[in-house]
Amino acid sequence: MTDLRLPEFSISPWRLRRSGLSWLHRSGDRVAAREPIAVCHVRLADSGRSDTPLPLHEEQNDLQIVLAPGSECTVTYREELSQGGYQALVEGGDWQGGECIGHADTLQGPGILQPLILAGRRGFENGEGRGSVLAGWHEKVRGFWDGEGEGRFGTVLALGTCEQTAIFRGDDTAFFSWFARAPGPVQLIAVADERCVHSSAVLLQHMRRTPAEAMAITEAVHSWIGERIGGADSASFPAFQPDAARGTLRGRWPHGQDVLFALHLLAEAVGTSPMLERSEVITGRGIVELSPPDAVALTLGSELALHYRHRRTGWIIAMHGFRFGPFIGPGIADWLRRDFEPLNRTVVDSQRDLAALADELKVRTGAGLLVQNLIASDVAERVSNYSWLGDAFDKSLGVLGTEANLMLTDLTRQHSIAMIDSDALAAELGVRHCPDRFHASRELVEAQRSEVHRVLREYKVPGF
Amino acid sequence: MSAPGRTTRRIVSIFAKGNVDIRDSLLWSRVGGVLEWNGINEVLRERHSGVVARIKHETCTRLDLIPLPGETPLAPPESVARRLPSGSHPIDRQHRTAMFDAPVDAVVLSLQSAATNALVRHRRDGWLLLPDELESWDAESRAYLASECEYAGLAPIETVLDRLARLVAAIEERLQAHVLVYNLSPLTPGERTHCWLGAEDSIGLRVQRLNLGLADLSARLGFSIVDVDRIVACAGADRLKVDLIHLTAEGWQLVAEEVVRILDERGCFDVRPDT
Repeated sequence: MTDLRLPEFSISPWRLRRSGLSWLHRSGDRVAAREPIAVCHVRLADSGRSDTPLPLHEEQNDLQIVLAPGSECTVTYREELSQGGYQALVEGGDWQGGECIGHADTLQGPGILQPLILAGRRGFENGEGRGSVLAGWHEKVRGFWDGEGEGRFGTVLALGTCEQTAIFRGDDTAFFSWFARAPGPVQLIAVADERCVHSSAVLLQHMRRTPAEAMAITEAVHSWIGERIGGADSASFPAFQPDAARGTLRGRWPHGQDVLFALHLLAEAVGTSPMLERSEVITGRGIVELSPPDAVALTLGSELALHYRHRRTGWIIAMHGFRFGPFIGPGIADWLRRDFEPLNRTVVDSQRDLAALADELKVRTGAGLLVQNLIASDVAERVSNYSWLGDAFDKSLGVLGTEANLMLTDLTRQHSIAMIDSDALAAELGVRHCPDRFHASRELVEAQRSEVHRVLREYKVPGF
Repeated sequence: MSAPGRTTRRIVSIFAKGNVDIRDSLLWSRVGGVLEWNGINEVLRERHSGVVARIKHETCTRLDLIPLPGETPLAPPESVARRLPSGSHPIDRQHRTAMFDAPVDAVVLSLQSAATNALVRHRRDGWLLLPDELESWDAESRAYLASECEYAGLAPIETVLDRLARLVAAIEERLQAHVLVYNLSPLTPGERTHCWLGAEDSIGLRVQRLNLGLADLSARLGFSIVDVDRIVACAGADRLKVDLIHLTAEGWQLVAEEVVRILDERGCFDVRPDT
């Protein structure tokens, strides 16, 4: 039997506080190398002696450490370290490097557990969402690990649409699949597309934004929010209507959602572009500040989102059509109709913007783009005679997808862009693995993940 | 009126101009002497029992070499056709077709020859030739080829599509036949390229460009595409593909079923007063 011990972190002058442990397996289970067995919440605490800002201060409320053995073994826990309840959610004691949390038989090598550190930057800091691994709504999430590798951290930023969330965050939404395969040191960052889809047009404009432009956007949003709230009358508050006096199902103030969404759009537009943002990681060697990402992963699917340009400021936003209604209310739709104009982008527009983005990013940070292409074939779209489509021909996703994929292939010839050929992977396995072109089965996601990994290694991104 | 006791059959005549994809899906697929797929009539027997397909098959050297009615192709002289080996594409037939010789219900073509067949050109006279199965040619024939001809390569995609547009128009005008064109699955099992820096188009990329051009042509001219690309993608290339062109027996069957579906959709199986 080998003792399974907590790893040491060198974070002086700060202290690391932790919650109780939550087990991710049952005692007695056989687990693979780097398969997570326990998780806890942690927080950096100021010892009172430091006058420097707290590292990772924007992620303190959702910082977790996941622990895994370095090789395959059978684990037995020290059950008293997991009391459940709120002790598993709230930090109650100091992290003690070397503390034994369980035992393993047939473990190869030392029993120091491998840490995967998860950090979530909340969209709304005061909104608690703790409960499981990397739970809650975050505008940005990170997973990083020192691992067994040497040298500097390699960082990959995933900015694509939902099919890419599956590849990077995985079924567990906490990067476990990458932790198991990339030796490290590695950092993965994912920024989801719920607020604004990260098309090349949106990203390019964000990266080039000036303070004056940020100010103009802020004023535009401020003005609309003022109107939206200022236009409220007594009928705007369903909770306080006469018929609600004895109880009502209408619990929410509808205007609130519109205002919050506008604020989130604004917060992203005037915050730092994630492609340029540096980050801090907790390691065994101390807290290390990392450069902007080495590689940025995008999806061609982002280019298909609905784009709008603010008439006065030129601010470009992009959203998925399916978000209107169930997620984005009529107030925002009215705002878009009045103050924005639809931006109908063609494959040629995407080509121009992706090329400019790749070139500018290369100059600014040295990062390369990995762009996932579109799955062009569809189980449902069975067209044998394209003349029957009439004017819809150009909008047929089969045609558009093939055009866009060929465009992306051409871009890889001249710019720092690598193509992740999801179309070929889906066709190899069969598009029944992705019947709607975007949401893939576990098998296809794993094939895509392997391909991303292969490309990252080929591009010599450190740690992979 | 049919004789008593005799089943009335609707015969659909098809002129099939193409190579392995056309033959193996519509006629038969034989691997190592074993019949693996018995062609379109297997599908018809099951789905349209009163219909039989009568297929006239002709190999296709390359789509853009098919002569249109009234054209005199620039073909190798008879003496060259006699002295050089032929393979599956007899030299004296490479620039000929019987497509317009008799009426048919449907003409089936394929992009395969345009995607893959590279030709040589006679240096002095300019005629084109497909040196089929070149690896089996004798030294003298190879020497003739080397001294008299130069590599002409694949046909430009625009040329293929322009020529195909004219061919479709001629078929519809002369034969009043339905036109079906097979596209190709661009996948080559195991091939995975993420960066094309300094690289020419692979055959897979060329196929994608041809497929896209074919869809555009279909939108303008109204002929039907047998979407082999989609059929393979839906079932999975791992299951259906052997190499760029060859499919498994299941693949050929699915292609034949799609041809039957399209012919049915176009009314080719409707009972006519004279049947």
